[in-house]
Amino acid sequence: MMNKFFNQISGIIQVNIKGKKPEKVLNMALSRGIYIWGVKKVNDNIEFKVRSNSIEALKNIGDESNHEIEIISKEGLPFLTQVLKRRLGFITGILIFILALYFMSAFVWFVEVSGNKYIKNEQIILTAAKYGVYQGAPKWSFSRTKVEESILKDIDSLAYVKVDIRGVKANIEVVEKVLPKSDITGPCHIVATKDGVIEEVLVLEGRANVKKEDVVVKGDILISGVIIPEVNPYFVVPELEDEEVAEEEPTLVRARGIVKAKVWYEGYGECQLISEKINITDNKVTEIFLITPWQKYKLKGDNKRNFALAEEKVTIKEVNTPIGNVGLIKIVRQEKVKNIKKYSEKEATNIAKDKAISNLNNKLKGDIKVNTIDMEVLSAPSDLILRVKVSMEVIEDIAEPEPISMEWSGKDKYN
Amino acid sequence: MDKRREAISKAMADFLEIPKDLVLDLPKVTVIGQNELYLENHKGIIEYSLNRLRVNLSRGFLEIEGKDLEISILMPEEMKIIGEISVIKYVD
Repeated sequence: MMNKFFNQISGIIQVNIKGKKPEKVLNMALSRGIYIWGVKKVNDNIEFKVRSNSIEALKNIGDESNHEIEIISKEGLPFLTQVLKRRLGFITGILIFILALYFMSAFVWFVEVSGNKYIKNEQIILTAAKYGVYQGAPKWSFSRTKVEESILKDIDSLAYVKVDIRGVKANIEVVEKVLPKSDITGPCHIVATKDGVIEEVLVLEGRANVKKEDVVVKGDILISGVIIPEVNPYFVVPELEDEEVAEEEPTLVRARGIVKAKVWYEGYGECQLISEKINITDNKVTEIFLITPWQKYKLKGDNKRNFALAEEKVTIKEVNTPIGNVGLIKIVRQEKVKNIKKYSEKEATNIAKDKAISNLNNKLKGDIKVNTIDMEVLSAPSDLILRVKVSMEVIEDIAEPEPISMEWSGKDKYN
Repeated sequence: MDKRREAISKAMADFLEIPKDLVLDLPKVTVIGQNELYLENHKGIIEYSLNRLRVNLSRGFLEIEGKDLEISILMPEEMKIIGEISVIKYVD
């Protein structure tokens, strides 16, 4: 095995010996340590193979013993170079191709961004382009770590940037910062977000402006951030000579607190007393046609089964050829069955009510406690559709901070 | 003289239990089926044709007859012969 491999590397020459006693040449070659194989008698001559590096020694033997040595064929690696010389254009073509491929792979051809949710791709791509990572940028012209640092500096809302270059693709992986919600730090009121009846007031800071069972509308101040100093009834002012004491400036605070109120929501739902529903069954028929420019052939499928109601799905795969269109058409017919269902008035009411409540629940968000649910039938008894209105009384937090505008002036507006 | 040396070598080889092909320079022939023959310790080729091959040995020669004989490997000490072998004959 290995021997054949080395033979190929050093090159194999097949020779033909002409002369009186070719065996003599074999024996002389043997005594001089020439490796010979594939000895075969052809007519009166002997043919055999030797390695190309021992051909000179063999020629000497031939001269000494008066035998004619003729080279029949050459094979192996050393003789391959001659073939290559003949095909110089081809070889240079391959080399140019490899070089071009190598050269082209030294550029960035695609830029991709991943990991961003709120920041737009364009912004990141533009910023990266500013620091040298753009389509067509040579890879040696930028340093990955520097680009990463620069992008991080430029886009504040990024926490991490990784520029990964794989072949001709630059993948920019980013992680966005999760910023805390901007909180109001200055003085503010707590106002109502909805109309309702106050159920519970808990003041953490500020002055309560409403009490239980007060009716408020949207925008009303529930907890005021303006505290007007009051005179302590238990604190006896010694003398009222100095009047400036009474006219103390009100202080502004950031009001905090929880205000829960009864709020009403209305939802609407309906249900048809007689409903038609179309269901898809498992029965289906598949037909496959072969299209040729001359005719349409059916490959599969039968026409015997026809459905009263069916859904047809047609997929066409066509190729445009010079002689016309060739392709396949697949038609799948899926059977449908009509289901008719009648509801009694009670059932219909329940369905309509459920629909209305689920509609309402979609609207409601957050921590909400449902107090009572009222239902009212809107439709007349003879109607085919049963309509229902559901009103829901819930208790929810309606407090919302609103900064106090400093442009306001005058004490009368501090309420 | 030669025969005496040979006898001594043979006795030595027997006594020391050494393979005789090493001590006495005897040929070693391995035949695989009818188509392959390995020959070690040969002393050159006397005659070669497609039907007959005569190989020189230290004493006498080996005659191989057959059809389409071919020496597929030829080295100073050993050779491999392929072809349809019918007769292997020692000639003194």
